[in-house]
Amino acid sequence: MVIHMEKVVIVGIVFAIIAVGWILGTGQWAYGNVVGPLVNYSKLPKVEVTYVSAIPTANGTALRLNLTDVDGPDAYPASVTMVEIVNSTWHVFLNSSQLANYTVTVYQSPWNENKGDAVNWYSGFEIPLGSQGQFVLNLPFKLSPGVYELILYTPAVKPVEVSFTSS
Amino acid sequence: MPSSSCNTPSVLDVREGFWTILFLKGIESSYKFFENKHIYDFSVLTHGEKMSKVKMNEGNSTRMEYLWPLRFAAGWMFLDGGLRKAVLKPEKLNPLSASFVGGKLVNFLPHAGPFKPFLLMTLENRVLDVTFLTAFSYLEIVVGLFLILGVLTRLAAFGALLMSAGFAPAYWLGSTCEDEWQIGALLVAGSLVLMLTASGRTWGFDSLLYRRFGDRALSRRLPLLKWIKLW
Repeated sequence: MVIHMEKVVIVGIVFAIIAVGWILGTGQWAYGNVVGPLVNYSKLPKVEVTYVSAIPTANGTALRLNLTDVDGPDAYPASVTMVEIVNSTWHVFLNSSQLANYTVTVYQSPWNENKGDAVNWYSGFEIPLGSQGQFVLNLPFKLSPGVYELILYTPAVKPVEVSFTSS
Repeated sequence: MPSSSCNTPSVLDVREGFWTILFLKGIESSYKFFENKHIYDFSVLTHGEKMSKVKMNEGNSTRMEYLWPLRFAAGWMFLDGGLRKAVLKPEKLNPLSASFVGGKLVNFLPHAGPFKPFLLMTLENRVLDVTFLTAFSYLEIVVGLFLILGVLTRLAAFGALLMSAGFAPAYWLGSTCEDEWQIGALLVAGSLVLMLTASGRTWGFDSLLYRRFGDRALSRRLPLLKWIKLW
């Protein structure tokens, strides 16, 4: 059977397929809204620790933290307002003003723009969506050698836990 | 009595008869209308054309004038976006300013998928970053103006289509709903319609170009470019 179709109809069908494919495909990719599961990555912040190290210094501990925010809204940075360092026998909380006071440097990743990672007394660590930075803290106490848990508290979301070894 | 009620037509029967006659008259007049070819010469039309012309009522539903609101909406989205960056708040294109829009590209990164390497390359090269964003902003102004005025509409709509698809790395951003994806999807579909329908030939400067030069493509010989029409 030979089907004769006008050129206009063929072009219409081709571009209809392109439009439908693009809309459904990108909708599925970004939000899972065709076959699920439904997602929206820009609702809540998600701070990730990509590197952590603790090295003893003459009068305390140099703590290096690489932090990035991989989810959440783009209008406001994610905040880490409190950090807990804990092992089986001991723990310490660092509030936002202590985080600000102990941070001596924030190294920005090469792709960070002018709104890079920062720290202040009220929000603690501030990490804009997608940026990454290394926070260097001079903690005024020594961590004895061993394995510790680092717990980062961000308002409204579950705390982030990561293990590190103090040398 | 049963017998008289069968012979005498009731009010209901009279009404039904009236509507039946009206319906038959309607069919008859419609038949005569098309039979006498008042408007269409059906002998030169294909079956598909006959169907679409009869069903869609060409007299109003397929008028090109009705595409102008779409041309304005799509055009204004781009014109407004470009004007905000390049004219109304030029600090947005100043890499030394806190308002620099390069930060937006950083926000796209976490779920940018296959676009991530390109974004990183652009962000890590400040000259490329600023050049790209500046060129994109001015292109938005040109495309937006051309769509609204109906100048080189098919080419402008093709540009709009590429730009709408080009911000796919941001589609995942939608903290209130599926914001960026909805904007992008509608602009992709709208640009496609404007491109295919040559909408600038009605209520646009393209009508002058079409009358003067006829149909023109980017190139007459090159296989892909000959499909991209100018107006």
